[in-house]
Amino acid sequence: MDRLMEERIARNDAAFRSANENIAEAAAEIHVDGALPFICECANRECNEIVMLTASDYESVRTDSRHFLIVPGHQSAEQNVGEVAERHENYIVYEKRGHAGDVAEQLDERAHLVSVDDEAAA
Amino acid sequence: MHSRHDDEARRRGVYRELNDQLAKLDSTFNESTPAAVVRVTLRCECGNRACVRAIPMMLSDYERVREEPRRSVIAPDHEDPEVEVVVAEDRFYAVVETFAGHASRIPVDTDPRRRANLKQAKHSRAQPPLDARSEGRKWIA
Repeated sequence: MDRLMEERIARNDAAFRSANENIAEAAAEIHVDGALPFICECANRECNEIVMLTASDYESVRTDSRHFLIVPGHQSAEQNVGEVAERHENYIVYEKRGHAGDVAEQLDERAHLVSVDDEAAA
Repeated sequence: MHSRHDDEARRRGVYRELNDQLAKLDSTFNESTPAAVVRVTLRCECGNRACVRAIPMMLSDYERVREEPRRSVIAPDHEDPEVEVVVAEDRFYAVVETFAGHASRIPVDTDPRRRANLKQAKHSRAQPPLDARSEGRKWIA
């Protein structure tokens, strides 16, 4: 697969990831616990399937910039730019590799926030 | 102590954020298409923990619902007559508006557009003034 396609897939996934970050943030601010609705982060732009996940389960996906939350079976949309890292009852964690992984890391807003904090602490 | 209505109103806040994000994604992925012809698949905002009913609607119709913080879009017959009234109906969804009073304060406070505006304002305040940035000076918000 060419790098442009890998980048496109990573950018699509990152758009869904950013949407989910806003949902998690809203739930924390509004003080809603239990299972929360997150959007499948697969590369298919038409996909709007919902995955019910607790905030802490979502946080554990987010600890790695290359990890994405995906509905089981939707990994085919990723066109082999990575592989399944974890399988759960209603979702899988997909890890981006290669150039797609690099782009996913660059687009992770949290990773940049951490580096600013590190800079401040230094 | 929180009432059932308060808990539902807060859950609605999360589903309204979910729908705003779904609409934003569709809007981004179809940026050259007019909102009146972009169809989005949203989720029912009824606040019932078990409900994730899909609601198809046009993006422009959804935008009109979001203009009023006390309004939500729900699946037909998912309204709670104790706290809200149906103000518009379609084959696939109903638009409800919470009555004035305490129950209506939570929808206003949890309105995704209001939250986004507050976040934007906070972000703007956190930015150093242009002159400080261009001169590379340290700046404390």
